[in-house]
Amino acid sequence: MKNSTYYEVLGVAPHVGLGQLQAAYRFSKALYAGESMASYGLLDGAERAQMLALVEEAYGVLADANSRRAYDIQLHAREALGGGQAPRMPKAGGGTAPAAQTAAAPSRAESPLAKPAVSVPAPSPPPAAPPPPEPVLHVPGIVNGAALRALREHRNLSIDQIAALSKVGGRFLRALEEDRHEVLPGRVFARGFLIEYARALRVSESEVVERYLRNWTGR
Amino acid sequence: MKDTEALPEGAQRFELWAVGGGKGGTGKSALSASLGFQLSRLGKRVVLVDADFGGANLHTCLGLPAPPRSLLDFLREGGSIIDEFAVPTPYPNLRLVGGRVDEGVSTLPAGWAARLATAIRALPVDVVILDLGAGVAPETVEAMNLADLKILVAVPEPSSIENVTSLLRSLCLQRLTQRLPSHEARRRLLALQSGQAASRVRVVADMLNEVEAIDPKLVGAARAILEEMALTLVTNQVRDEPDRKFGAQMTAVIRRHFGLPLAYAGFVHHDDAVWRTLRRGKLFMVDASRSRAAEDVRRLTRGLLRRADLSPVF
Repeated sequence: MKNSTYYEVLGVAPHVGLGQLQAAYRFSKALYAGESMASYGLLDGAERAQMLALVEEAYGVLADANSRRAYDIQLHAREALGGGQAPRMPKAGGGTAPAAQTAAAPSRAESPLAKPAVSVPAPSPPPAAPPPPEPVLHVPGIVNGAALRALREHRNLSIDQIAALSKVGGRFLRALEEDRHEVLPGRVFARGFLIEYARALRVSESEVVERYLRNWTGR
Repeated sequence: MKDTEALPEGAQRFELWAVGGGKGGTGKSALSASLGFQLSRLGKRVVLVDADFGGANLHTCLGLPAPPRSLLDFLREGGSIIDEFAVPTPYPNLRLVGGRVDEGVSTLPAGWAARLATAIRALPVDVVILDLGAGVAPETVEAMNLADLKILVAVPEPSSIENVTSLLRSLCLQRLTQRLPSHEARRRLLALQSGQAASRVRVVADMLNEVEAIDPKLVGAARAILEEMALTLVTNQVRDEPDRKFGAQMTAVIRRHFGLPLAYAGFVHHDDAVWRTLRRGKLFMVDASRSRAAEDVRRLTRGLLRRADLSPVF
C-alpha cells in the first residue's frame, strides 16, 4: 500500500454516510494526536504527525458533499485506468473551497500506512502515576545498569526472579543492567520494562524511569 | 439461577477457539475459563484444553488439581480419542483436558497438530477452547492456527503491544507457509520464520512482497488466506477511559499500518473480584457473577459467538 485513498486514511468504506465519517474522523484524530499508547507504541512521531495532517486533509475533502463528489470521480477514474497514485486534493483553509477546481493536481504525498515501522522509537509517553516509594530503599541520583543491579542485589533478587515478577524477559533485564540499549526494542518499550522492573524492586517507578532514560542511547 | 441462558441468534455449530497473546500474566487462562463457563451457561457443551506447554495452570483457575492424564500424554501416547482425557469440572457442560505442570515441552511427536485437530473436532461437544502459553514458540503458533477463531489477549501496556504484534506476524507467516499453493513460496517464507531474515518481515506487505517475487498471481491467494484467519483482539485488565479506548485504537493501528487482519471484540475491566475469587480457586463468573468483569465476559461471549458483530473499528 504505497499510498492510500482518503477513505483508507480514515479507515472507512467509500460509501459511508456523514455520521460515520465524522465518527471515523474523531477516532483517527484521537489516535494520532492524543496520548494513545496504541499509536505511540507502534508509530514514531513523524509518522503520527504525517497521519494527523493526512486525516485533516481527508476529512476536509470528504466532509463537503461537493468536494467529495469531485474526489470520488478522480478515484473512479484512477480505478478505471488500473490503479496508480491515489488522488489528493487538499482544501485550503478547510473551509468551503470550490470543489472541481481544486481537484486538478493530485499531490505526491505518500501516507505512512502499512509502512514497515514496528519497533520505531516513540516520543515521550506520559509518565505512569508513581506509587509511594518504600522508604527503606531509595533510588540513587544516577540510575544506570550498575545502579539497577545494586538495587536488585540489595533486594536479594536474581534476574530470573525479577523476570518472573515483572513478566519482562531476562535478556531485556540483562540488557538494562549492562546498559546495552541497542539490544532493547526501543525507548518506549524500555520505559515499560523499567516500570515493571522498578515495581518488582518496590522502588519509585518514576525515579527509575526518568533517571535511567536520561542516558538513553538506544533507538 | 437458571442453568442455561438463551443462545444469541446466528450462533454456529462446532467451533474451535484459541486464546493467546504472546505475553504472560495478561489473564489468558482466567479468560479461557470464564469464556468456557459462559458458553456452557448458554447451553453449549464445552471442553477447555490447556495447551500452555510447560506452564499449564488452567485447572487451578477452575479450582481443580492437575488432571492425571494431560494433553501431552494424549499427544505422546499416539491415540486418536481425546474424549477420555477430558475430566469434569464443578460446572455442568464444562470439561477440561489439563496440562502438565511438572514438565516443559521438549519435543512433540511429528504430526501432532493435525492429530490434535482431528481428535478435537471428533469430540461430542459444541465448543473447544485452547488456552495457549506466552511466547511465539512454533508449537504455540501452530496450535493457535488450528482454531476457527483466534482470540489475542492484550493488556494496556507497551510490552503487551509488542508481544501481540509479534504473535500476529508469526501466525500470518506460518499460515501462509502452510497454505500457499507453491512449494517455492513456502520455502521462501519458511526461511523468514527464524533467524536474521525474520526481522525483515515486519508487516504483511513484506510477506506479500516475498510472495510476489515468486509469482505475482499468488498475491491474491495470500490475501484470501490472511482474511480467513479470524484474528480477534480482546483487551483485559482495563482500568480507565483511555484503557477502554485502547483495544479499538490498537486494532486500528495494526490494521492500517501493518496490514495485519485483526478484528476487535471488546474489553474486560480490571476487577479485584477476579483475583479474589481466583485465589480461592473459584470462578468470578460464579462467585462474583455481578462483578463488572463478569458482565464484560458475558457481553464478550455473545459478541464472539455472533462473529458478525466483530470489527467495529474504523
